[in-house]
Amino acid sequence: MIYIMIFIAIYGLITSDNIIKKIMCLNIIESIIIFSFIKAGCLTNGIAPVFEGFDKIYVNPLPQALMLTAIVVGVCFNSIALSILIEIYRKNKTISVRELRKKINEQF
Amino acid sequence: MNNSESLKIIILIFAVIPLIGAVFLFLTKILKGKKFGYIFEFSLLIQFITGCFIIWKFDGIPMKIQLTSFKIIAPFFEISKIRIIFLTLYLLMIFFVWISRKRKITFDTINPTLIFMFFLSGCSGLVFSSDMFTYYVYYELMILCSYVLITGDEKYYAALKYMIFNSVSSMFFLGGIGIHYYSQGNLIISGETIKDTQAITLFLIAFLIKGGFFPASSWVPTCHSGARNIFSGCLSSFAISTGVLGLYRFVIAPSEINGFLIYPEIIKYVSVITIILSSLFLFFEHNLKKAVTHSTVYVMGVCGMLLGGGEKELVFIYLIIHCFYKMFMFMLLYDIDYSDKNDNLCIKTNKSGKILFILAVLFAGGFFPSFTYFAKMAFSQYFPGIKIIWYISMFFIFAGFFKFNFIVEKGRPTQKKKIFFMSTALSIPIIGIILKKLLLLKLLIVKIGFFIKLGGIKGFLSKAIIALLTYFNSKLFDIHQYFLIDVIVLIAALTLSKWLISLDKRRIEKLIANFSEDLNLELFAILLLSAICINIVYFQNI
Repeated sequence: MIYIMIFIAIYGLITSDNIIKKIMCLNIIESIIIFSFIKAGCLTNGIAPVFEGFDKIYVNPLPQALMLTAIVVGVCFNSIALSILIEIYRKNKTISVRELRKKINEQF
Repeated sequence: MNNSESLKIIILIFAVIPLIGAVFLFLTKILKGKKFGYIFEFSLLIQFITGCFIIWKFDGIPMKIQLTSFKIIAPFFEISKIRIIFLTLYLLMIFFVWISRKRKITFDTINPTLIFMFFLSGCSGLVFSSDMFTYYVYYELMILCSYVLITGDEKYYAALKYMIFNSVSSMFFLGGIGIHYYSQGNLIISGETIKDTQAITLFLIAFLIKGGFFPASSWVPTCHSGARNIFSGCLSSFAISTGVLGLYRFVIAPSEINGFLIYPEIIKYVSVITIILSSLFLFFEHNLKKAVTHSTVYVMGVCGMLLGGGEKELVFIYLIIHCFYKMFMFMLLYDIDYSDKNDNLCIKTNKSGKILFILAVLFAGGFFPSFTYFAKMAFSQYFPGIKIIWYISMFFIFAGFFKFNFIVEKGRPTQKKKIFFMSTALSIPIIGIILKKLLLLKLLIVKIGFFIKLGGIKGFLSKAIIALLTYFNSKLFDIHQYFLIDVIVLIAALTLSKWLISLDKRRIEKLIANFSEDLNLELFAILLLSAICINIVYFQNI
């Protein structure tokens, strides 16, 4: 499933002309990385890492803590990317990469 | 408190200083104060002094600092010789920002200044951070602020391109961190701990993109030329250099220790292609600012070549010198009138501006006695046929800059201060090279003692001159040989540049523009590069 998702995201990133689709593809790749990171730290019989005694099996809390930071970074990226996109649309009335390039070349 | 303890505390607070400044700036914004510039300058000054103090206190012994009070995630910092050289690079950048502030050519409103302080915090955190996740967070802070600062002059396409390329490289980086963590169980950045080839391959691709190497080099001219001149200087001198630092820390250092010889080879080949293509693109570039940024890509290629050859310290010293002339070139652009799409390729400037720009171009291309000139002597042994590639690229760089017609306008004011700073900046590398290459410091001290003992100051001076002349004489053949070819290349560039640019230029330019500015094509090229790297690593069975 992870491989299929990565393939879809990379295909979309390379072929799509729409900037929103490109940002979405980047988000998919980021989500896959975060998911794989957390999945690898998971144990089948492990419980959440809140201390309940020495006899319990806990999942590794480090990947979760790290990925929380990565999610925050991803949210920051999305907010900036979309705000730039809004400005691009206001100025050029398009969100297509090719049309944007054409318009920029015409301006100069 | 002893020496090492005080140093530890200062290293920990170093990256926080711009953040504290940003908080005060924010308070100024709330209170609607107009003198925010003083807070900005003061925090720059404090960080500069702190940085100088760290350099002064560092005694050459590497030191590790771990915040053990954070039990789950312990941020890890380290100080070593390479970090000190990189810190010098950062302090230089601050110094130039401060000069630009004095000349009132930097950010003039409170919001960009505030974001710029966050950018500085990200940059300074990168210098000492020694665990992967702290490094990642500081890196993201730096580039997130860069996106916003590039859009300052409504260059939204440049910001978008910067964003896509850097986020793709961050994905590779994050993936590498994940693989490394599950193979080794730690996040420490060091040659001993990074052993997994899958992780190293992902780090390699991530930092090749961040460093502006081929095939991901075309974002550099678009993005760096989109920002304001002084911020373009910061991006070209420091932000892109972090890619080279990453290549060293995540790829070269582990490869050396674990014997993965394939990675330096990959970096060398990629660097050669970067050197050739960047010089070619520079030649066909009509925008002067973009031409300057193409030369940044060329420098990154040279750095990659040196790094692949194992000249670690030389790379970082070279980056410091690159910071000098690149910042000056971007500052000079304030005094030069040029058009973005000018068919006559005219540059209007004053006499001093023309002289300084020519000097900076000679240094960028690697003419004697620039540091690049000495660097090429160092790396000519690492790669077959590098000398020919070197001279071809040098020709294109000189021809690329000298194709512009300089029009000297007499009415423009001359700037004596700038000439003083430029000449000082250009002379420091030469002094440094002489000290490093010709007079090894210890040897010099022994010789001084010996000569004074022999015949006082008079005798010492005469014998010192004789010793220097003898040394130059022994080295003369090498210097003479390279210098002559340099002069021939320069003359050829001066004579042929205008003729070459007139040859069917529209078609070639269109071809290069299509090749270098197609976003999807570049992303496909990155995918291809990653596939090739992964295949090479697996076929080598390491």
